[in-house]
Amino acid sequence: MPSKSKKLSRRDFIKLSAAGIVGVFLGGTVAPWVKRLQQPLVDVMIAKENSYSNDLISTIRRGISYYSDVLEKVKGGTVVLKPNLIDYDPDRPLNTHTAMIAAAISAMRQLGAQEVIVAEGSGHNRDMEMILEQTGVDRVLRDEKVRFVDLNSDSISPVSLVSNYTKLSQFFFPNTILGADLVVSMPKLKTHHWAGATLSLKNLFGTIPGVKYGWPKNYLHWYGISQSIADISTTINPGFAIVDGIVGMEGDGPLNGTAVNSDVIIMGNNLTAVDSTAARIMNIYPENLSYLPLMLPYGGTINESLINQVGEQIADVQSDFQVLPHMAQIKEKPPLWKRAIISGW
Amino acid sequence: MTDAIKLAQDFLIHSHLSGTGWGYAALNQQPYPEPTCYSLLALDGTSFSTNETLTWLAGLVQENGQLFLPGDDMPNWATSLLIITLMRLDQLPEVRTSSINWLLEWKSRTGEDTDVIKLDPTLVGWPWISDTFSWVHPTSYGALALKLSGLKTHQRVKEAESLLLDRMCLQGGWNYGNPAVLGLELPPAVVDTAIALYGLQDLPEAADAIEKGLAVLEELTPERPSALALALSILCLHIFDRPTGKFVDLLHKRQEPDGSWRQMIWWTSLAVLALQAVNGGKNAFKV
Repeated sequence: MPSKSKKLSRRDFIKLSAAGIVGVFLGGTVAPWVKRLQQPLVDVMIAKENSYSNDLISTIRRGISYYSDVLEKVKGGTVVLKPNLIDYDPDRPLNTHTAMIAAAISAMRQLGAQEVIVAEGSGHNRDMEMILEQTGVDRVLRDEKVRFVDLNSDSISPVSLVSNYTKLSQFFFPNTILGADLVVSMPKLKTHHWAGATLSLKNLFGTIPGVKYGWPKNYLHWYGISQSIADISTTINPGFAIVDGIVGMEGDGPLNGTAVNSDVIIMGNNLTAVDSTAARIMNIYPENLSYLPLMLPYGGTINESLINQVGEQIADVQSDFQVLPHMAQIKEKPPLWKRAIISGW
Repeated sequence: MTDAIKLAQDFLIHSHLSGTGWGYAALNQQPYPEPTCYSLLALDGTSFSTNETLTWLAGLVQENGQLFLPGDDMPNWATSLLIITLMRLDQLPEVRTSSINWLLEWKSRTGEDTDVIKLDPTLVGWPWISDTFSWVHPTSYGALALKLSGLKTHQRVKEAESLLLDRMCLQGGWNYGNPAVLGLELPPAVVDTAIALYGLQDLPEAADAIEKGLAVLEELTPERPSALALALSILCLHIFDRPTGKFVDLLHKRQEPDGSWRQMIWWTSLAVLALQAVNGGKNAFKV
């Protein structure tokens, strides 16, 4: 289904001019900012799901089928599903649920994927076999006869950074990620004690190979978590996101938070727009998540008026996710000037 | 030698990448130092010819002793594992010497004291990669490499031991190297606990920490019995003369008909080392 194009009105022209000035002010090039204001509306699908026993295959199929560019990549292609499998804790919903992973595998296959691979590189624990077995993902992989790749120890190649916010010029990435026709980020809907929220963009930290960068992937932290998230995302350019928000995590995420029955799945092909929508669903202002504005010159969309919500509306699925006191500012409405700069008004 | 060991060694030999070493998985055609070192140790005493693999490893080491990953231009943590391997195999003395000198020079980044994390950020150990903080795994392997090289009393070893003790989880055992964040205790993990204990094994002042660490292994490993956790735990328990029978049984059960543990080279080679240790062979990690 095609996206609706936005006509260039006088108001747009003013916005465009303002953004150009802001672009110069921020020290970036004007062209990417101009380009983004000429973009069509971005579609983000919100599906209400209150149980992992529901027919999630149909929901995910519906989501993928909505985006013709994604569907094209799935048909006959190699699809890499990148869930969030950070560690194992029997008492907390740390990870993307096995039912979501199983449903995504089936949906991709039904839509014509030649090969589906599940891949992850945990940031804390080298024992990926333990994580897979204890979470039940291993059973899904065996039942579905799907290959798993530990991104921490895959073969790797250096790639020049597209955005280079970290000034590191290049990162090494796993060849499984580089060789995919479509990379699908499948995060858990969680708050994060350093980044504010961990969603489809932050989830891509797991594509950084531990064999080169270690556990935790501390090297990148020294160059900025937000800058690293943006550099990873703009460089590997994942094509789709499926956020598992049926049960989310609030408070001291990504490991020590509390479960929230948020009853939602969020999908889309513009990961910044997906994460902005997810943040709004968590009652967090996306403008306050410092990595999201970095995506704006690279096609990312934060502005709610430029996002076409498909399916449910945000207000109908919104949950007030609690955050730690030192992150309280992410729930405060940003001043007008900040929204104007970040969202293009 | 048990059939399980022989079968696993055959798998490793057949998975060797001609002219280089081993990747982490049999399907992985990119060789890395870590699985290569473990595999060389696991094949010690067999008919496998180590010459070309040792030549490949030596080629990764710069003149000043830094080890780089293939295609990389930054020193890598596996320098310490290379030293351990070369000491055990008694090979490449010049490479060994230059790598030891580099390891003594190579320091982790330090930080300022903060309430956010519960550790002493001023202690110096070894990082995974240059210009970063020190963590449990590379620090413990660094200490072990120097101990095996006759430098047990070196100041770097002493500080590494202090760092490992400082990073111990509040309940005992170790994770990647962070006992608590924002006032909340973080739990230990089997792999990191076993590796931390390799570095502390001969430190009398660590007796209490060692006891707690071993208790973590004895409790958690059977609950979460991966090949990696079992192999590293067996090697660790063996160092301290603790019973390993239950762990060995679990490890045997997970071996596949082709001799491997899920076609993963490093798990398979570590499993061989564990089984060799409990069958009267050497323990590669024992000082």
